[in-house]
Amino acid sequence: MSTPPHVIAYRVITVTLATLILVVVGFGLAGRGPLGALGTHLRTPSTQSTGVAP
Amino acid sequence: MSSLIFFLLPIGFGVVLCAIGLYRGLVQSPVLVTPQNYQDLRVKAAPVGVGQFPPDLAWPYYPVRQAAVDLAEVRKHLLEHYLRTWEWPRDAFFLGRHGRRLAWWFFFPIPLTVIYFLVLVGLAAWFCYGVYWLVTTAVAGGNMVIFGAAEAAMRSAERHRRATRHAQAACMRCFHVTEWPAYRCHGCAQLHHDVRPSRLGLITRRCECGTYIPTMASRTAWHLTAVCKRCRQPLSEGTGAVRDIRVPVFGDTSAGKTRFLYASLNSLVRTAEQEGIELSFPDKASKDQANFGLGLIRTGRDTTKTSAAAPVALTCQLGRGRRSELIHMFDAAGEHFRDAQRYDELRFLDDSQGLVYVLDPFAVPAIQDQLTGHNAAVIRLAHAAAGDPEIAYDEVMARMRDSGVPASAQRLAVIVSKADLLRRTGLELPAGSAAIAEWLKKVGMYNLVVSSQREFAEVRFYTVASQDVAADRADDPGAPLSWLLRAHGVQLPGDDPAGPPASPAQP
Repeated sequence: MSTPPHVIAYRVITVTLATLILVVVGFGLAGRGPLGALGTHLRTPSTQSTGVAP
Repeated sequence: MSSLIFFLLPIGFGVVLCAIGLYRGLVQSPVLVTPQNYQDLRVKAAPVGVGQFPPDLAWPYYPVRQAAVDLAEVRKHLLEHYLRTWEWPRDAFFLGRHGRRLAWWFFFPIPLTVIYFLVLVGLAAWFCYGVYWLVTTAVAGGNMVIFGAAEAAMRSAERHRRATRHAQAACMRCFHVTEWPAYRCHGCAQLHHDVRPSRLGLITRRCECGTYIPTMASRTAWHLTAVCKRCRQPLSEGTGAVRDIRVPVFGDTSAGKTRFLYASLNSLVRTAEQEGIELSFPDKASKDQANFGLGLIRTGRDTTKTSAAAPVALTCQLGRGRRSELIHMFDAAGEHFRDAQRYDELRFLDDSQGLVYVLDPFAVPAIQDQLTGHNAAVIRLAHAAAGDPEIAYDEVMARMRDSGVPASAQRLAVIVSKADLLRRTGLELPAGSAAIAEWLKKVGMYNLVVSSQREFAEVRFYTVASQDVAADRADDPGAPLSWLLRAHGVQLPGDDPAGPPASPAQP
């Protein structure tokens, strides 16, 4: 029994959406795209106070 | 360079592993929830009761079942492939199947690097699967919410439309009446018993054979062949989508039921012709019978006694297409009402929207007394019914009560038949429903008049002549039928010559 078109359509949509999300997250981790700030933030050294007076 | 080897490479490998899982689960060897699988699951969850039908064989909506199956398949393949990547390292580092274990652990960075690599591969692969799971679940969940709301709205609109249109499905062979019929698929002849918007489809559904079927009887009726759910005989086009009115005619043997049926049909045909309304007979049996009956009335020949074998049903379609109306008229031989064992053959009484009781005035004892010594030839021509008119009425009422049919929701037209013959004897007949009711009370039909007015929602009394209809339409055989049809929303011209109903009896 062949796969009906609506099942194929749903599979294509879900896999495409998942791929898009992964690509966006991947680029984000690399510091690019809409989530670029995420990668930048992860790579930037912490500037928080160490508690020692300068 | 080191980040490429220690970070991006395992992540890339994990993505590829997930892609393989997706390919194997969705493309190479997918598991399909077929119509038969889905039917089995639903029957298992809710066994089919007596008089019910199993869910139709059509492809279920993706989010209902297939989405979960797809997720499970991808997960299964991903796990299988991921475990396979661990096989060699496990055998080598922990089971000693590829040389001595200690030797491997002596070169300490190698096992640790491989394990680190595989853990990162796993994390990346399962992260990808997690994203796919989230997307599929969100799409399915969102769809189900929107789908559920749309389904409820569409079902409600269809229910309202059906209620206002009085759309039902009546089979003229087995007299089974249902809210909507079954529809036969053009592709595989499979029957679809419930075409309402459901998990099998909102706007259209896909039959097991691949044929697309519009949902809702108001649309399906114009695309597929309607079939009776009980006897599986084909029904008229549009059944289940158009107004469906059933009018049984009952009365004693030789009371004039068949003649009234044909005469009222003749009147309806003429009215339709005058007003330019199309009137047709959707099946050959009805067409033949109508041609025969109309021929009898128009040529003034006598009507033969109705066969006691089975009730006669005649269907005509008033109008054309989606705005048309199906009108069914039933006529059973008087013997059916007498014989308690033949009650089952009178099933059409249970689902009628209006009843016609034919009363033969020549069978009323008081009128017989009045006619003594009058025109003997006319009295012979009347072929008076032998039984008491009240008995046939009481028997039908008893049957309706036994069947649990509420007469209080129905209308009754009481017909005093053979009015032309009665007038020829010299008797004066009243005109108008109230006057006829009073006259019947005076001639000994008091109980019939009073009980009918008490039991039915509305009763009107008519005098009817099949031949010599008066110019003022006082004896028009079409008047009772027109009243009953108009009462159920059929657009017919003119008003009721009987006037307002007779006052109900005072308790």
